[in-house]
Amino acid sequence: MINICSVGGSFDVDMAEGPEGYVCTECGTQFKGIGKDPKCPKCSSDKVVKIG
Amino acid sequence: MAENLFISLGEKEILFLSHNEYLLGVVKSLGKSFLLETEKEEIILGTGNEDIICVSSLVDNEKLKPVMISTLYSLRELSFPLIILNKGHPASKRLKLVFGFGDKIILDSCIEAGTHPDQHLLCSSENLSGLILVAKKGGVEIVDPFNRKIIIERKIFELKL
Repeated sequence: MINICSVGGSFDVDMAEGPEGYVCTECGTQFKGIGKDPKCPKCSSDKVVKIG
Repeated sequence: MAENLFISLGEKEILFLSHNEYLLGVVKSLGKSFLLETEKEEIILGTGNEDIICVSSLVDNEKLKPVMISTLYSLRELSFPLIILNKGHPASKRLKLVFGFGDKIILDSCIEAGTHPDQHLLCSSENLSGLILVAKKGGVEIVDPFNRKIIIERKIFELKL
């Protein structure tokens, strides 16, 4: 669960847990993710794995 | 209002719940990911197929309905990034809409929007405080412990010029 507050284009956010590192096995993009099965921000692939 | 009320919610629909002019908009997140842009980094928020996105109004204004549709559409359909403000940013005091993502969302009145430590809580006006939304397959379950006369509308989730 995540809460985001908007002020018409800008947002404030609360996160229960910090983001974890992921890498996309399709395009190699590394990113930080939270929540359920975050997808690659570059190619939208769901083939991602957690990294340390 | 029934204690536990299931309302069906399709991919191309939005629910508006209102009480005394204060609004809550609800759509399915469709398992999509969302881009959160903080001052230091980009964070990808993943959601489940049946999860919901809620947008809650902190002001009473009927004109917010199309604004809610537009904002939710920009997030879910067009992958607009969300620019994250640091806690205590002066703009936080001017919040008109607040958003929640997940499988369960509880509305609660708040002193300062966006500062709830409990992650299931989403800021709202007193008029909708206490309302619970639970994502279910094909819809959402609504629980109102105060049995208020909450008006529920189901609309097509689309942009109109």
